[in-house]
Amino acid sequence: MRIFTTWSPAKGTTYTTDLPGHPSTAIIADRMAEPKELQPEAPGGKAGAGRGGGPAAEAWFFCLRLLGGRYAFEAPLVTEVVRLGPLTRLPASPAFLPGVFTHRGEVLPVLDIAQLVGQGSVPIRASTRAALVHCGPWKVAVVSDAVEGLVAIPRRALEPPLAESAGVAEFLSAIGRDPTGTIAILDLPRLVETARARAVPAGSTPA
Amino acid sequence: MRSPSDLDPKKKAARKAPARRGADDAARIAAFLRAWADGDHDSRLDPDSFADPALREVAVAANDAADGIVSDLRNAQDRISAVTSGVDEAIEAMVKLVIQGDLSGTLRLGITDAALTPLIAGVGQVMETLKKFVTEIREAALQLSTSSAEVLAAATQNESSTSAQASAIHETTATMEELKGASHQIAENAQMVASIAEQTLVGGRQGEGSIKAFMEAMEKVRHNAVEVDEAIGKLSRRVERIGTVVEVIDEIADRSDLLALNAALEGAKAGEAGRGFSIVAAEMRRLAENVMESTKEIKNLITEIREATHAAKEASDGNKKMAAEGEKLGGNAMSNVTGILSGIQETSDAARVIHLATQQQRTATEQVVQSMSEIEEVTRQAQSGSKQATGAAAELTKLAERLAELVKRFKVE
Amino acid sequence: MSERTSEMLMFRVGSRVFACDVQDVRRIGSPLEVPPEDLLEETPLGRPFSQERGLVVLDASGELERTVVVDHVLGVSSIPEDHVQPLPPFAAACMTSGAVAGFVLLDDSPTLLVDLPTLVSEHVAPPRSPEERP
Repeated sequence: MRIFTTWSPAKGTTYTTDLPGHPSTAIIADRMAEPKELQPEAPGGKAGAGRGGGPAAEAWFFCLRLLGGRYAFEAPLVTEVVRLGPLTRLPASPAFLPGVFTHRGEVLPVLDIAQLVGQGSVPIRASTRAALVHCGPWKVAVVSDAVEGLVAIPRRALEPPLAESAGVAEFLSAIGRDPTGTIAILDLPRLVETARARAVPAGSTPA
Repeated sequence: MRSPSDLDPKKKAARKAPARRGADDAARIAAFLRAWADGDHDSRLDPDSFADPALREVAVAANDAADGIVSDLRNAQDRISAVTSGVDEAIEAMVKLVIQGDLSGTLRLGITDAALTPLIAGVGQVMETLKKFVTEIREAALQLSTSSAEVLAAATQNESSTSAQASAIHETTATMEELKGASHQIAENAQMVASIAEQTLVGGRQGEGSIKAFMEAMEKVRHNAVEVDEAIGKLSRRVERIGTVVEVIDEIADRSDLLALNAALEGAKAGEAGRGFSIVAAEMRRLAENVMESTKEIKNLITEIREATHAAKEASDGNKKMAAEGEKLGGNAMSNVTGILSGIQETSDAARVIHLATQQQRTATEQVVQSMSEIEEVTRQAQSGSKQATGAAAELTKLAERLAELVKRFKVE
Repeated sequence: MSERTSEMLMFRVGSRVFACDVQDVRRIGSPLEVPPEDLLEETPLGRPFSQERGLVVLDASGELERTVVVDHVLGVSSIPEDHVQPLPPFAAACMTSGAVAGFVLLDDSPTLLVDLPTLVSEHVAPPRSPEERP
């Protein structure tokens, strides 16, 4: 897992990097903590495989705007925030997999959570932001309407989700709150795994 | 009856003049005769006064003669007065009768004098005659009354007829005057119509000419369109031939391309060994592609030509159709114009006829008016004649009435 | 270091360009000369606009020969190996067809690398859904 370590000392700055031959990527350093805070020995929870350490007082989440609300998942899952660029559609692929794109010479699949839960779709333009996530063996770019970035929520402020199983609710692990408002915490690995299991061909004809 | 002896005794006494003797006696007899000649019938001689006995005898004889005369005279006078009074009586009776008007009775006279009998008879005859006369007059008066009434009625009738006739004639005259005026108007209008018709005729003839020219133009267009059609046909056929050739070339090029592709494929499969082969194949492919590019261009060109030809054909067809339409319209217009022209001609002729007719009519009307005024004159005269006749008849009637009135007084039955 | 290359045949179906291994194509032919039952027109690759060219392919078993109808054969390209990428695992896991083997990166946009024999095999016998896969 890679954590991108370039950020501006000041909070709320948008950093744009243009790597040659690749679509431009934008990394939001919004409220991103000092690297020290994300070291394995620091409390805060990194989803490192096999790392120990007890739960910290605050948890870092990566927040997106999606389905008209604020959703987030464990921050360590996110490696990068990218601009999608042109999307190559795949034949015989499910609806939540609108296609693949190239990033730094690597072909990556795109995951549309809205399509997965059957609540419309995220409009995809060249400027659409996606969060690159690593969920176990899967590398996926999660598209959203907007990217908020890292938020810190105290663990004690996390509440269990409502007992709904319809739509996106089945993938919620908690409800959190921050000064801005409510955030629905997604269990992203479960979501991705479920998606894979459910893969229904979107039709034999690609777009 | 009075007798001459009823003269004034004084006078009588006076006549007895103082007796003179002798000569006086002769003188007294002469004076006495003279007095008698003068009409003094009262004079008498006093015989006593006569000395001469002969003269006394004469005097007595004279006195006797005188008395005899006087008595004769008296008788005659009595006779006369009797007759006179008888006549007077008769006349009086007649007058009375006449005045009373009663002729029905007979004359009753108290006259017994036989000498008057002829007179009475005569008077009676007169009365009879008078009666007859009156009767006839009455009848005549009646007839006259009737006739004059008839005449009056007829005259009145005549008067009113002539009056009516006069007013009718007057009206007719007035109408004729109007007619004269109207026919004048008509004549003028007809004149105008005739001149308009003339103008229209000229214009119509021009229109005819234009339509003819138009139709000739349409004929030309149609002819042209046919020629264009033929040219297009030729062009089409040529283009099709080219197309066929190009298709063949294309086919060949395609085949070559396919061969080259497969050659390249085999060369690729063979890897290193097939590299040279691949190069040749690639070259061949390029060649084939060039050819196909060219044929594609030609095909595009052919398509363009076809489209243009099609458009031209459509235009030509359109032209032909239009020309045919035009000819038809022209034909219609022509027949319309011809119809109009003949109509105008008729109108023109008609107008002229009207003009002539109205002129004739005018003359005729004038003549009629003239005649009418003559008639009017005659009628007026007749009218006045009627009036006179009526007046005369009226007078006559009045007279008849008066006469009738007059004779009414006489009773004849 | 020598750059290893793969020989790829580039072809177009509809408006999309695909790549395949030259070894998978027996020959290039004309679909009009092939009986219709041996033609593949409706595939996950899409529908061709025309019947310009046909790629004659043997199925995975090597027994069935079919002609995949394509609109245009662009030609053979030597693709450097580092330009060839496999399907991302997640995508591979989600797809019902094995016809897409990976991508050929040309001009930064990934061109689908097609496994033609699998395409033919799947056409002849449609694949099972992933739930049924072990």
